[in-house]
Amino acid sequence: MDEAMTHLTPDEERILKIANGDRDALSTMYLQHKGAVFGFALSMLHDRERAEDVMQETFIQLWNSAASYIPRGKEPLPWLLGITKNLALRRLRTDSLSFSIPEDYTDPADPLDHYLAVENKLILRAVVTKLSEEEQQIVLLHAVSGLKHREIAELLELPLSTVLNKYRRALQKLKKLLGESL
Amino acid sequence: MNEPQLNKRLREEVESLAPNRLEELLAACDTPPAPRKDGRVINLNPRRQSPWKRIAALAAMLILIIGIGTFMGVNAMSRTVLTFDVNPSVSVTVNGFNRVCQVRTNNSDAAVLLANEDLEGKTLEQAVETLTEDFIRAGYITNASNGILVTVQDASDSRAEQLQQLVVKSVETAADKTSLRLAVLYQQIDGDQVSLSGISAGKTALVQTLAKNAEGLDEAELQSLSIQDLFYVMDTLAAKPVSAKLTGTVSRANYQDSNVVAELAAQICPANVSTDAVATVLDCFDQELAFVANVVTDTAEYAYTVSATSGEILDTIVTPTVPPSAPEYVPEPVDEPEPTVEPEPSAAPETPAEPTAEPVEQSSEPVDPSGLYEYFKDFADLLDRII
Repeated sequence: MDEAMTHLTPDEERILKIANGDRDALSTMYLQHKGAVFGFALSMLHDRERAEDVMQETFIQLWNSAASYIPRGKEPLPWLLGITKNLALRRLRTDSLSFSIPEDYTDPADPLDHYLAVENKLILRAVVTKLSEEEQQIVLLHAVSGLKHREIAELLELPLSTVLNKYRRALQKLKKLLGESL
Repeated sequence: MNEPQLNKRLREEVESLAPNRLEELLAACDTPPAPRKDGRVINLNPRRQSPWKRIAALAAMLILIIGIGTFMGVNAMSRTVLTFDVNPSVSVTVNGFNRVCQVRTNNSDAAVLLANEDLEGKTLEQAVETLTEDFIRAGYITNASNGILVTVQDASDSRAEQLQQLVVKSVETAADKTSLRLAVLYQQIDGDQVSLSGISAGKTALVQTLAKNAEGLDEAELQSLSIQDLFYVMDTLAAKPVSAKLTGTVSRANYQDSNVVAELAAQICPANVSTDAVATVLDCFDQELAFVANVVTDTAEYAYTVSATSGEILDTIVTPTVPPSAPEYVPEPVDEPEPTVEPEPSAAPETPAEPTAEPVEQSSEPVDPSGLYEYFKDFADLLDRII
């Protein structure tokens, strides 16, 4: 598609600048979207440190792959979260290969749950602990990343109706939980 | 807490939880990113193309263009004339794409019939169907008069064959709408076929073929007959042109059977004759197809001209038969001529002279030349009868 003919979004312009080595553009993108990337990575990995690593890797990947981005006049966040998803999946694969559970292992308190409790992240804690993995991803992608349900469906490769149902169900659960807590 | 409030708080929590490791990121990105690849066409076969391949490709394209152009041009320019004779006679010129580019009416009937019909630009199938329907609607084609003569000119054998299939199919399609059963005679003739006055080249060709086969009919007589009459003559004499193809059956409903004509002749003949004694032959009488029924008796020869269509007796000729036993002159055998006897000047002329072995001199009287002519003529007649 001819770039001259396409109306570029601000983020697309930044990605094109990143492709030309503009570090300021990279900084802007990082500060603007690190929360969405981190939240999505967290919903997939359930580990704060690994989510942070994936977040950092996502923006390094953005720096290296910006030239391959094809502007379409749409927000590039789903494309960026696609990178996050691939990196998180790769991380899950490598960790599962290198980590084995000892036979005398007893499940301690969830460190993320503990961390979120200490940080007083009430809603996020409820999301992480009470929702299924897909529900977490859908809620975080919608609430934090601001993705539309259609974009979430494409990113997670789920039917739109499934995304809508899961989102509604998750929201009801959260309201119920938070109603009791608040 | 409503949904927007929930989302807002969740977003704030996640944002606050996400660490800011920008310096770390920028340190990792100290090398410039991979250059942008502007070209979006990926050449999977980077081998350098030989210039000959380009030349060959161009030549092939040129040949293709010329070929297509020639094909289109030849088909557009080629002209084949198809003439439809029923009694209205219409010539349709088609191009190589079987599209009608010219329509010509060959007689006044056709001009009247097609006065409000525009066949140009139609496909041959459409034109033939329309023509056939017009012929039927105007009453030129009926179950009793079901012949259509189609003549193709200026066409190769294969082209003529192709057109024949189209024409016959289209005629049948049109006829099926009225449940008529037509007889289509499809013939191919040369482009330089001469037309007899007032008729098409196709009808002329059929007339000439029939004239060679019909004993009592010549070209001038056949020329005056209708297409159905000609079909009937062709069918009766089994005189179909060798190269022509006939589909369907020629209707004989409007025509008398030759046996019926023979029976009629036998009945009206004053002499008591059987039907077997009557010979019939096709003829033309006052531009009307007719049978001549011929009966020969001891006393006379009868020739009855009977209309082939109505069965009406159009003409009767009776010629008295000359008995062969009563010749006016009895000629002598040629190889043994009787000697001429000079008449005696005596009073007993009846007494024949004694024949002599010696040759007798010829009469000194001069022989009348007209009498000699009569003598030999009668002798020839006698020989004919004996033979």
